[in-house]
Amino acid sequence: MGNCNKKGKPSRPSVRDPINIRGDKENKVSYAKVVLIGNSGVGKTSIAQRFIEGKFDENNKNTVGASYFQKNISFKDGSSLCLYIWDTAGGEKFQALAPLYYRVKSKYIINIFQNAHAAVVCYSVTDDDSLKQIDTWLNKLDEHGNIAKMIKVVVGNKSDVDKSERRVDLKEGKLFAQQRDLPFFETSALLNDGSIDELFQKLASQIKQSFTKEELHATV
Amino acid sequence: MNPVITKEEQTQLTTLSANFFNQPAPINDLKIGKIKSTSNPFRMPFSSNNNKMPVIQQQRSDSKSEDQKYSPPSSAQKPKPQVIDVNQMIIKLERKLVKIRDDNRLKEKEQQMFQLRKEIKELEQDLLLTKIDLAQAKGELDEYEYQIDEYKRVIKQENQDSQNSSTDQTQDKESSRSQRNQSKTKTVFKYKNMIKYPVSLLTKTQIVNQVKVPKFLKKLNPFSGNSGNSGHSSQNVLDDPIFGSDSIDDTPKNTNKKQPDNLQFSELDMGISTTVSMAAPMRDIRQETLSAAVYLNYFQKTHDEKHIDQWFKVYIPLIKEGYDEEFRKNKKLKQEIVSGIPVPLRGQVWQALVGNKLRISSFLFQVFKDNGQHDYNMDPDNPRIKLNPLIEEDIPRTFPHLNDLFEEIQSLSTSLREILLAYQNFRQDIGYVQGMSYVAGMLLLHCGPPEECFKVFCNILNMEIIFNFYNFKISEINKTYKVYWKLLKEQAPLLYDNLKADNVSCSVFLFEWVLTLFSSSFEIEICTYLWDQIFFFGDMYIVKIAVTICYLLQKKFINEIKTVDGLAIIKKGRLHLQKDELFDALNKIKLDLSYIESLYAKLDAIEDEQ
Repeated sequence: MGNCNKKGKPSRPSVRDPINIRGDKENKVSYAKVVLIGNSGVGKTSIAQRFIEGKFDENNKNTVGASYFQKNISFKDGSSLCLYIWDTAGGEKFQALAPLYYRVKSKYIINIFQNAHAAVVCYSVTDDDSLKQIDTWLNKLDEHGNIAKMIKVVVGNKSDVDKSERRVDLKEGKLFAQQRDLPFFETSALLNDGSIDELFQKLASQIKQSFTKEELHATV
Repeated sequence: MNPVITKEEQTQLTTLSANFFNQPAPINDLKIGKIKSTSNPFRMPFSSNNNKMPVIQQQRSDSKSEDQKYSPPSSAQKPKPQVIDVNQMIIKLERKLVKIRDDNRLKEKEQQMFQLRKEIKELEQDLLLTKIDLAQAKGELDEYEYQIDEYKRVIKQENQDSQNSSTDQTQDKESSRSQRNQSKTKTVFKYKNMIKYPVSLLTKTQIVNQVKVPKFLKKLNPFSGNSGNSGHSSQNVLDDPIFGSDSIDDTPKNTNKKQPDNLQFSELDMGISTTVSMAAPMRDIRQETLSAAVYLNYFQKTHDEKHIDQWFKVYIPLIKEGYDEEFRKNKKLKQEIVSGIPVPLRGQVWQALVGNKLRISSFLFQVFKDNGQHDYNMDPDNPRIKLNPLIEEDIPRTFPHLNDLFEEIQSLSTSLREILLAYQNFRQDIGYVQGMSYVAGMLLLHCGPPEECFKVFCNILNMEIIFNFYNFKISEINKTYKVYWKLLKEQAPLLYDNLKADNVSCSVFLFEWVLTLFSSSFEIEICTYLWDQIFFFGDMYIVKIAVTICYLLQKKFINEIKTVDGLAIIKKGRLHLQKDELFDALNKIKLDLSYIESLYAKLDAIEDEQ
């Protein structure tokens, strides 16, 4: 929806990508904000990169602060949803930085969780501690997110690793998510097996179902 | 008992076990059979001789007594076995057997594991080597292409020169040498015009013999002290039929000139590396995956001796010994800094510029490197240093395209780990923050030994703005954001509007820029120049650079500024910004550091934007 785009500037044309233009004309584009969270090194940036650029970069840098991507997802009925994906740093210190991100209502400091429609909570199947930490992240979401019906997904990344390196079984992850009543995915950013596309497709359709068009506006 | 099973025991075992499992096997002794056949299971004398087991045995044997009578005579001659003992033996032997089998399997598997590990190690080494080879080969290819282009240009000019100065060649060594020096400076000047590139890096550039790169390249060794060499190769260009010399495998054809062979050879090395370093900035300076070979060459650059001398004799003492930071007012020094510190001296100059207000000593580094962090749980005899898993994770992720380099050169990664651990122990209130690894990595690439790097590292992190960011002092960080917004509004109003329309906070990019001093977001080479200036002008300069980057981006996208995604542009700034533009803009932009400082002083007067 073009005029849902910006609060103050309804007429600002969005020419960011061709799909957007078409969508604007048909009044079918909506925006959703998705945050990627999880411990450091579980592969959040790789997930985003695989989804956005369709590639896997072995030389991945560590994320400092936060980075940001966006991508359109089109549905079978012709409408499309623009995902703003926020990739956050998972480092310990940045968890300590939580107040900077989440709590302080300062105008200069972004609240990463504010207006987030969905959160993808990641762990690595090679690191059982990262699975345990998911609860901490979920708590933070509950504490600082301002949208009550925010969609949360648990994702176990690096499913491509050898069995000997695996520390968290598929069942274990599933059970963990089931106990918290959350959808569960196991993905691999390394392999181009479509697992990540599937994740975001499902997420997008879920967002579309649970939010009205008015609620889906861009607030980066 | 002896774990080895004798043959006797084995036969006993088989026969007895057969008996035990109720199979119709011959029993050892006929006598037993007789006794058993007649005996009552409850008869006392028998049970006194043996224990409870024989009772069962008897019952069994009773049922088979007829078969037993026909048992082979050979077994009948054997001594009467004590059934109980045999049973016990069976159990023991069975246990032994299982043990032996397990042991054997374990040994086999261990051996296999060992061999596999060996193979893996070898393969890993091979992989690393091939990776480096590949990188080098790529570099060589680039150089070839570049040299061919460059050579065509150069030879034209040189031919003209040679026509003019053909008589010079006949002169004696001494005069020709001075002549060469002249022609060298001439060509340098040409290069300067051809490639817009800071003077300091090129002043000593020689025209290079264009032959046989690969051989020489393989001899390239990072950090090998070569800055003292002076080249005379420009004359070689004149003398050699260059394109014909492609097929030359040995140097003699090139070196049959006035110079001794080995000297000539080293000069050739130097020369080629120079062209390489010149080629790099022209071609793929923006490529994120610059191969390690290119970086090796980056450190291999040759420089003007006079220039370096000047730095040594004048500027470094000026910085080091000047009273009360007097040097910051020196205009000449400022000019030199802006045009770039010569690469070989960069580490030293940084040290001098940053100073050591914290009075960090090498001893402190040694102490904090492993202070109280020994992990005795793992192995009490050989306690390892307790590692921070976050640091371990980040080391290979710092300058990932330089991983090979970090592996290659005296394990730069070990030094990186040491510095980060030392700082973590030194400032336990701050600890390790992601982003530090970039700063330390940059220093390691330039400053040499880790203890020196540690000094500089601590002092850099002590700069006010940077310290506040690392310390997560929100109120202080907000001041910087506030000032930054104000400046952005003044210098790049359109981009400012764009960001504001998207409700984007500047923290999204500024935070990372300040934490890593731009090194995670921009090419290493650009950063080195930025750092030169930051260390000279102080931390306010960081704000200025950050504003300038946005100013430049706005200028570049001025036509699409209303429709373009401002944040995305800024986040991908490294793709859009060229080094020369950036430094041009930094010189030209009307933004005084004193003005920035004054903004910090009167923060309350600044309106709350956004």
